Amino acid sequence: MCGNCGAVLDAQDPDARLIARVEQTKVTPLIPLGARGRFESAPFEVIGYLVRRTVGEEVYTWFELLLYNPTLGFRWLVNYHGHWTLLKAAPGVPSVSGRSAEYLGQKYSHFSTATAEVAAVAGEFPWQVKVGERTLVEDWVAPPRTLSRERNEQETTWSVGEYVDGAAVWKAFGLPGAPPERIGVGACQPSPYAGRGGRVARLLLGFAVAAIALHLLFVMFSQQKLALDLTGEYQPKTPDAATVVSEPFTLGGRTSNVRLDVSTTVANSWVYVNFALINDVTGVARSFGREVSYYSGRDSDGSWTEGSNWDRVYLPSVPAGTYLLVVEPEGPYAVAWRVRLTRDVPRPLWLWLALGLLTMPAVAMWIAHLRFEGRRWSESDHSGSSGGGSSSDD
Amino acid sequence: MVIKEVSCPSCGGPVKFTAAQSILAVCSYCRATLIRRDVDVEQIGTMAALIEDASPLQLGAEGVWRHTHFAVVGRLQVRWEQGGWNEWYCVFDDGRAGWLGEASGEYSISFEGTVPEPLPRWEALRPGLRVTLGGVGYEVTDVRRATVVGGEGELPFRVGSGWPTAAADLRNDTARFATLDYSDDAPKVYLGEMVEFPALALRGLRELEGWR
Repeated sequence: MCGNCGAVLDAQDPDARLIARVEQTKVTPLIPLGARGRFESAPFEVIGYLVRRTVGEEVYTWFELLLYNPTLGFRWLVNYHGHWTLLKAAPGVPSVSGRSAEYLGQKYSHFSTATAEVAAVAGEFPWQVKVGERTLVEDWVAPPRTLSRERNEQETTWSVGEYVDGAAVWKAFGLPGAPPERIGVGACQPSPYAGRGGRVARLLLGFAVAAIALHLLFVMFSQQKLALDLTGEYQPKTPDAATVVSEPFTLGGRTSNVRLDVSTTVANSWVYVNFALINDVTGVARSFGREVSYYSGRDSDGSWTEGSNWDRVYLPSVPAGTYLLVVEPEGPYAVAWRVRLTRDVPRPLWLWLALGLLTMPAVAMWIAHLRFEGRRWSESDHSGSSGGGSSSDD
Repeated sequence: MVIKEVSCPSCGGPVKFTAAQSILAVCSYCRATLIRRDVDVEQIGTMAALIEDASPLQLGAEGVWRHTHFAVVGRLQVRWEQGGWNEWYCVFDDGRAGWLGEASGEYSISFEGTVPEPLPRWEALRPGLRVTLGGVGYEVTDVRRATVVGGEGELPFRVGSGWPTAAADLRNDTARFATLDYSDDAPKVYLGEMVEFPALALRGLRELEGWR
């Protein structure tokens, strides 16, 4: 009798009474006793049910189902706030040092320590479970895995387990309906962002490589040809004579940009330069101005500089043709200047923009991951220090 | 492999001594407890019936551990106030005889041995205590006084129903396993490892109702 449940029978009782059988009709397990579910591709039967709670100021209550298979032994299916963990006895003793525990090469972080008592019990156990029985329960996590140590005066029991999705539990037992809603983040619930991190990183890296390759392609096929090199000298006394008009020059190839570099001899001064790039055939002009200013000095903090004596402008989408450049400086002091126009220059700005955009989803994911971890650790003993969570029950 | 087969002095049924190390056998027909002598056996009592439990193991089961075939030839059943466990006596093809421990669905294989280190006193044992045995570090995981329910098949020592036991189990991080048995005057040391039941490739298991 009772060959299928692992119950202990009392030899001293002639009726071979079950010593570990406790009937408690008040306790209704979420998954009925006797139900069979498939785990590790083997059938396990629910033979026992425990309601346990922490002893102390803050009372947490959770539920444990004892699963049994005659050759694979026992498993615990633990449910807290809709989060499920499947645990089994650990054959070895993990090593604990400080706030971490190590088992089979995996490092776990301490999550919580509490004295737990049995609040209610139903079904059958391989040992007699008594209501009110207390053990010191310590949990370490390495999501989705968890380590648990339970100690009393006679024994230390280690279990190792893994987070199970509620839907997977329901499917394993073929239960109708849906599992209870999850509340918060489970202690060993895997971060939905952690697993995807690598994949996203690879994808982003691919895009970045593509962007860099595209940029290099632009560099290879760009002309980067000096179209004009013009110098002049500005005298504030004769501002009208300051305007310089270049000889006609050719901007060739496809419609592309033109880079204008202006360098000056300004020092502790400024010069404002009006430019006009005029199409010699159509007369269409692009006018723009640049202020070049450069100041330097020395004060109590040491030497300082502000601005620079040169500037650079990109003119996008300039069609091929013959052009003139008009340079018209104005300013308080005499200044010598030089202007160079370079046709078809690849702009690394686009590359930086692209790379910046590419890192945005990674940053967003990282932030979401940190927030998820914060919610996890807010439920732990270390909510103040390691997670940045809101509650503090240290 | 059968070393000796005798007739039970009580009922005349056949009783086997498979292991050279076995000194006690329980008649499977009348539960007479027999002690092996040079040429014959002597009945020293009758073993109480064992508690029916859910163990998938039974006498005659065979398995493999570390590439060595073994047969289950005896069993010692022990209980404490809230539970119990089995020690299955096994004969290995290399001539050794050891124990397949079965407690709450966890299994271990161990052999009696000796260690150079002095053993801790029984009173000093508590879960969490670190003990070095044969140069290997262990941690005490279980300290328990219990009572022998009874035995069946062959056993390597004298034992009877109701005999008290006092033993501690130890494990380490690589699932090595040891038992320190203080039931007799001189403590005994058993060394081995925790094993996964499926890894033992057991045959001849008990048919459990409702499970294939």
